[in-house]
Amino acid sequence: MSAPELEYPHLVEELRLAGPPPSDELRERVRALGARPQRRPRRRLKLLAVAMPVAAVLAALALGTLEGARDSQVVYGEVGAASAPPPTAKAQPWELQEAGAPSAARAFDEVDAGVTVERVTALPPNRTRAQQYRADLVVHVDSLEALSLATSNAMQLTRNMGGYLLSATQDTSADGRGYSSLVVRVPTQKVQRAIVRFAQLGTILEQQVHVQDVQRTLDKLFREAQALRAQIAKLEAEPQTPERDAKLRILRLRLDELTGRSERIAQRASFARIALTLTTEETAAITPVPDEPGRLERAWERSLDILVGEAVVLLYVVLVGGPFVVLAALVWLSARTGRRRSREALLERS
Amino acid sequence: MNGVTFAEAAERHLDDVHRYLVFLTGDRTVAEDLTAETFEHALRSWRRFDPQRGSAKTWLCQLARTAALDWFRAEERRRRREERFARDAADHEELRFSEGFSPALADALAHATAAEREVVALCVVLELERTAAARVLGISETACTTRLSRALHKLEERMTADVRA
Repeated sequence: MSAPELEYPHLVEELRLAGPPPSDELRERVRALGARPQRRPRRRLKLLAVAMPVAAVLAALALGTLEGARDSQVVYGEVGAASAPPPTAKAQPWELQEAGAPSAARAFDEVDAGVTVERVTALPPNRTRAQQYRADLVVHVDSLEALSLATSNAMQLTRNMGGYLLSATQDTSADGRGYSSLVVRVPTQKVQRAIVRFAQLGTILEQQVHVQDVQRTLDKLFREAQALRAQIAKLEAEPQTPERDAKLRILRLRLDELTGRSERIAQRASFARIALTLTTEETAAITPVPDEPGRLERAWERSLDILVGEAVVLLYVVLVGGPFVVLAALVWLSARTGRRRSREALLERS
Repeated sequence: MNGVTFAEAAERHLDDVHRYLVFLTGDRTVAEDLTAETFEHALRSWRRFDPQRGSAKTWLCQLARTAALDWFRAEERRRRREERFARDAADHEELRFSEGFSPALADALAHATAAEREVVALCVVLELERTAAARVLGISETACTTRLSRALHKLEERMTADVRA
């Protein structure tokens, strides 16, 4: 489309030259406005758009760190070289007696082949609270032959207690030195017994125990899940509408997430982790293999949970509020079109 | 345009805004009042002006248009009140382009609608780009070109008829 101005050059020229200039009084008035101090433009909306998600992430990290720290009531117990007299008889293959085995709540004395072994103390797990229990043991054995025997006995003991082996490493040398490193999981209620049995494989050199209480977290998750179930039951009783169905979906998603998390924590708490090092060396330091999540990891995990929770809430708001937002947008567009038409009509009449 | 102050923009575009309002309203006195009102509004809203979205000239013309529309609405209400009280209705001949216009052009402009005068003012007198003029008017570029073509044709016809007469 060619420019219409080109079709009427004389008219255009006359139009551009026509019209009075502004009066001096108007010029002065506008200059006076320009002399007033001017504030800098602020990019409020852009700052807000950046600040809000950053604030949400920081809040999640802060809450995750605080809640992770509250959960952790680490009881650190370290027993030095708990001495036990060497067995007077040659070490025999253990005959494992699972039936009627003493409960972990009782410290017990083992009697085997006429040898009484001193009680080996270990922090008993709490029967009424969920706890993540971790122990590290270093046990001295006399020879490579004893090392091999003790290693296989430890694995068998684990299996018979209902536990399982996570990892096993064995290393021996020609000069008669060697070690075995086992990481096992046993039911938490049997951990004390397991520690005592492992200690009896040789002479215990070192023992460390870590206990982390997670009952508080489980209780909190349980309460939240109960509240969600009540909300779901109440919604299910209401007449079916698209909004109700959307709300139900969100609530069920959240409930699944909570119960899944609760199950994972309970699962972890139901089995204790024991790192057993059998060595022919008389002195050895425990280098625990980090397996359980540390404080930073817990904080990170909890922060992620909070962020997921925030995302679920946002999704809820979008799904429920979405139709209203669309309706409001349509009304606004309609009003805007109406206003534009009204302005056009006004200019046509004037 | 980044970093332009209000004072610089006002000095640079005062004539443009004034001429636009003269063409739109047809009354120099009204145009002066509306020009002052436009710049007062611009000073209050200067923080919201974003040079990346358009020139200061375009933005000021948008503000001037809003002020002019408010005036037109007020004028219409006044005319209706006057009609209700059986006084003489405001005559469109009150609209004068007496100062700075040739008689033929003044007559042709007086017989054009405000919408036609507006598009001529923006595209021809102020020489705004079609995109900017369309933004001020709130219409598409094609619609703007079409409206301009009709307006110029109407003015040319009126002026030619006057000359013949």
